[in-house]
Amino acid sequence: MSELVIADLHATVGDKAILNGVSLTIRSGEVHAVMGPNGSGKSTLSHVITGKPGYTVTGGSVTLDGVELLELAAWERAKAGLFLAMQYPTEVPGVSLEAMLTASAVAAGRDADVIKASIAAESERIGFATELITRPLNVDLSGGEKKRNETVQLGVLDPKFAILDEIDSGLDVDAMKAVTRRVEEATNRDNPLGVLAITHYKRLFEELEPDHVHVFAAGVIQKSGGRELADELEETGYAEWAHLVDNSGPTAFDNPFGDTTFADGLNLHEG
Amino acid sequence: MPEAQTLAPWLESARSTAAADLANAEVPTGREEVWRYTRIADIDLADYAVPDADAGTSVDPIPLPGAAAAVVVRNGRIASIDRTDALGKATVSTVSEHEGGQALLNSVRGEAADVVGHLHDAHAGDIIVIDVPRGHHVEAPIHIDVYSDVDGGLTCPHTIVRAANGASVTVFERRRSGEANQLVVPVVELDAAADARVNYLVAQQLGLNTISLEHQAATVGQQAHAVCSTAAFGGSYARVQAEMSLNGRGSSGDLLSAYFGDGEQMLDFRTFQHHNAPDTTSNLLFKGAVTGEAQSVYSGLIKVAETAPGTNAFQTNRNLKLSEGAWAYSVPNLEIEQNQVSCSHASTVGEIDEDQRYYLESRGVPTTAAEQLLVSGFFAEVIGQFPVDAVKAELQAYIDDALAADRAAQEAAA
Repeated sequence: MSELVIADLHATVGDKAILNGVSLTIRSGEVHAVMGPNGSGKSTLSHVITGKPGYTVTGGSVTLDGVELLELAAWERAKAGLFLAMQYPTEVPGVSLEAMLTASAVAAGRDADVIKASIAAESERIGFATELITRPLNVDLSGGEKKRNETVQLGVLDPKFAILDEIDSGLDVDAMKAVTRRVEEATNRDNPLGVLAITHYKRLFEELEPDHVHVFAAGVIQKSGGRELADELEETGYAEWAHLVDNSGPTAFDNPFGDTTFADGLNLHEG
Repeated sequence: MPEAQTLAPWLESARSTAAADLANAEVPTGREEVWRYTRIADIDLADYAVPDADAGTSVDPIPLPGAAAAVVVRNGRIASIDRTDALGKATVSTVSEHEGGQALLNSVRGEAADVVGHLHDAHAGDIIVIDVPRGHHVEAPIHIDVYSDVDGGLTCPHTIVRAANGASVTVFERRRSGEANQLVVPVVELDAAADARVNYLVAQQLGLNTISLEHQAATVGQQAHAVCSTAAFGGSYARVQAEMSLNGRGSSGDLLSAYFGDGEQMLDFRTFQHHNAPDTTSNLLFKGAVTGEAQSVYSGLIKVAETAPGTNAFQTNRNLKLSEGAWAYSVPNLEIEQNQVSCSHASTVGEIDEDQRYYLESRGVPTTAAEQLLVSGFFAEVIGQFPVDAVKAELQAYIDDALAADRAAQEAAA
């Protein structure tokens, strides 16, 4: 049994406070849904926990089985058993899924020779086209393919905890089913997966049954409950918390269109 | 099988003329356009002299498995030529002993245009001619392994590759040097006649105290194709002037380079895509990375003559800056005297993408390994197009290792 403990987490981007004291404990096998309006800081929560550059932690802690994650590099957090399925998986020209997961296995001291077979098995399981395994990561993939790709990685890396950042966005019904079913299965195995699922909509829960639902707004958990809270939100929306959301200034939320860069990730040379 | 030291009389006389031209030539000041952003002003050509004829060296060549022929050049002189049956009717010889040598020499490069050209012509060592007769295909690559290690040495390697009508050939040249201070002035001439195909790749792995001033020139005949490619890793100051002249209707040519500089290196590229005939296509892809305090310069010109309607010309230079102190400069240029053309040029200088690195790290890939994957992926596009399959993995591995060494050094310094 593992435990991911987020305690009074505060974080800023530039001068702007985004997380204002988040506390949440997730145990193996549990599915926690974090639901909230746009601009509430949900994605920031996932980025701060996994160590994305650009955020400053100003207080609190995140521990995995007692190990302080905030002191670790992003890759060490992954090695410790944390996984993030991104809302907008980054395109990585020139690097394949296979090359990346092999490098990860080597760093973790796992048998890199079985990675190929493991990718093939996971791809088969959720209907990820096998010809994409050796192609550049996420380049020219549809929204559905990208999310299946993230889910293949979740299956191969076999983490203790997974954060799913709006894994339901950009998905058709079939992909949605395949992805959520795979995650649900992982939460029911021996050494079950613990899940923090960030989402707007409860359609995610058709296959993935949440044990706890949290309403997130203004950088803190406003209210927690069971599955019924998701149903309630579907009825009432987030109007109750809308006044808390500050949309006045620049935010660090994902830009779905990315920055203006060339396909190989380089910025246009000025001059 | 060292070559007899007596040169053909025509070559002796050409060298004397070049020596006289050299004495009268003006040394660039660094203010000329083609020598801007270079270290030419820091070089005193008079500091370097041709090594003695007996200045051999025991360094072994790095073999190219399955080569049709292997030429070993040491301190400017041919140490051996191994020919196999795979050569067929093609010949590998010196220009001095080649029957048509006089007409061949500098037929692609042209007369020396500056002091560096005269220096080369006056002091060239054994000049290699690879000559492939009409309609003949040499399937396996021909290998040239060049090495020099004399302190204060001046060596001027010169390779001429000629494929007659409908012939094809691939040449891989590896150039290395020891740690001694040296000046290397190479010339490469590629001549693809009508319907011919010439592939050339040089791996420039010179020592870090060697200056290299290289001139590559290719002419491509009707419906022919030439690939002139360079992996540039070594040298203190290493300059390549590369010219692709598309002279025959429907001809095409690729200019490719992968370069990686660290420490105090400066890698300098000047490219020219000359479109002189209708329906010609040129592709240029130069990708480089600089780290430490290294510098790179890329300056390229697409020149479309009035006689070249239907030209397609592409020029892409991408640079990765891997450290604060590194510096990359990129200037693409077009000069077009013809309306019916399709040209594009792109030039970028950037750092490793932070989001891409984070993506890999968030899957458990350590920082240095993530950077290796990204840099390796960056170079794979161009190395994948190099015309010698047998060395691609080695060249990729060189970059991986160089990056790992650089990152280890940066960590140790921090």
